[in-house]
Amino acid sequence: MRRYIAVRLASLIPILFGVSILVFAMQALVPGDIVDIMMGGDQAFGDKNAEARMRRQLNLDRPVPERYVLWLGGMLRGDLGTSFVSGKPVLGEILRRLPVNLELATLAIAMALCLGIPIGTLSAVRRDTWTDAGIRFGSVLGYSVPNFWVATLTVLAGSLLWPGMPILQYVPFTENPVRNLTLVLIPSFVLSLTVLPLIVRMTRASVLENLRLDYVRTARSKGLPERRVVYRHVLANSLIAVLNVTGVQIGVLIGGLVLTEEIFILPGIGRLLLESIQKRDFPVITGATLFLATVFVTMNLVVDLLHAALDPRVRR
Amino acid sequence: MPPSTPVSVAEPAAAVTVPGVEVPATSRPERHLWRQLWRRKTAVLGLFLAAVVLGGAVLAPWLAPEDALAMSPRRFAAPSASAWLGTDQFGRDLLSRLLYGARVSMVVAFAAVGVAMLIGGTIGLCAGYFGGRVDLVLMRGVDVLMAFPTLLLALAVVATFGGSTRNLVLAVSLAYIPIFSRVVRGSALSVKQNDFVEASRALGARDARIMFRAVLPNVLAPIIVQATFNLSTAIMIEAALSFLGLGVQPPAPSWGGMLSEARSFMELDPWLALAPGGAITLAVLGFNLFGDGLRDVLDPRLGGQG
Repeated sequence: MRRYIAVRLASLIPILFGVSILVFAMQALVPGDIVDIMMGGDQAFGDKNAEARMRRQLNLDRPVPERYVLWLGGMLRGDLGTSFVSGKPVLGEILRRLPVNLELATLAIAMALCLGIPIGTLSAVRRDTWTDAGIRFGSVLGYSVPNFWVATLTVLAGSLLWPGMPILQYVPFTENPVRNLTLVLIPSFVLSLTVLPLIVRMTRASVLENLRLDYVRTARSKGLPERRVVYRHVLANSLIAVLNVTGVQIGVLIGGLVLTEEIFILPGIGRLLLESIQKRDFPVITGATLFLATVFVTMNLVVDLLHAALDPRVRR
Repeated sequence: MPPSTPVSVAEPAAAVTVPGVEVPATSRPERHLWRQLWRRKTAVLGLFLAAVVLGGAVLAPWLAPEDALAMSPRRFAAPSASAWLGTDQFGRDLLSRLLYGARVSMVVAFAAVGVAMLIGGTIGLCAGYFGGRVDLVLMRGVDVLMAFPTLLLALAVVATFGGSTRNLVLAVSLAYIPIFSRVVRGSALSVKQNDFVEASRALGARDARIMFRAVLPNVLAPIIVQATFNLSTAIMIEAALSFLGLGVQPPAPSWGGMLSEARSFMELDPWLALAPGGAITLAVLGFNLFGDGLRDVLDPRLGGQG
């Protein structure tokens, strides 16, 4: 197991290296001159000296490969650059907003698992009944409905049906935990709908697959009640596949977070990214993109390692 | 790996290779396939929905009762005989805007999936067929693209290059290249083991010929299934980017953009938020249901119980 962890951790390095090149290339490929973009609204616009000073500050007077090395060096030291707009370090801005994302994502995944696993199991146990057909159609419909539409309609329903609904506000958990949870509950539930249908589908498929295996026949023939066979043996074995699909869905969840934060006006990294795109604040855009990609890759690794810990066959 | 037989042998061999090679591809006649598909009610429903959206997109100039950009003093009109779905905040006909919005959606989805299929498919085919170092280098590149959540990668591309139809295609196709590479590589790896590949190599066919005449026809099924599912998610990504104001720029109609504009007026006129979202849902649902049916028929191994 230790060897497996080491190999997997090492495989992260070339991927993150490639990610950094890609993100840097995007920044370097921005059409137009970044100094012009930055100084567009400034009084100093057109001032050649100020422009030259800024170019030197941003290392723009150096060749691209050297700029990359300098930039990467900064990243490795935890320096994601400085925002053009606020003048603050990008990493600080990101970390300040991280708790919002963590809370939303954790709640959403927890809700999706708590709902998805029982629903998927029910669908499998009642195979080829109306219940099963309804759940299956519901899950196809579920991942065909755009989540940002559901979120928009939730906001609409809230303002029409319940004018005082605690929505479109945010209070940090540390300030008022109860109020924070009531505010975050609805957005988290909407976000959980992005991953729920696939968890239902995967649970159903996996439970059905396991029900066909020999150990189920053994369990039944030694007289175990069906409930115990399903919940104790089949479900436990099916959860590994569910874990895997949850890992794959982390990417969907990160994308969903950007939209959820935008619609429910929550101050997370997704909104930071969108705001900086609007203001063309490139250090924040690249910093946030790099950060989210790193989180995504790391989470996938964690899921893989969990999978290996639970299922010795994976380790080889 | 390439056979060292002289070129002159490869040419006459070609005539012999072709029938031998094409057997696996044509052993499932198309008519049989359609009949199987036709028996699946949800797949037929999916095909119908997809056809309606595609038809609406193609025929928009003839079907649309009004110009999608024409403003009128009749603002926020309720659905009526003259404007079936009512009008928006500028008095523009909602149905016409939905039809023209379907165009953007379909153009971006089909172009992006097409580009990703070509590039990603070629990468996957080369990686799977040649193996070894080629495989290692190509798939490392694919891994890097896979390191970005789909929407984030698309977001980064349009943030860098600006929102336009062309950049939307670029953004979505870049996000899909790794998916096609992986699917095709996996299938190519297993197809490569077959005797008919070995046979055409023994007959002196060159690598390119084996790849495109022997391997490619046999990996088409998973490519088509994957493409159908990706059409549905491409519609969703395009809508999401336009919703965020990073896709097609107003006043040009796009479903995501219409939904986003409606947010300011939806308490006054909920219909404005319901219609574009409903259109996205039906289009995505259509391609998903059709894709499910196609997968069951073309490639039962991919997940029959799903």
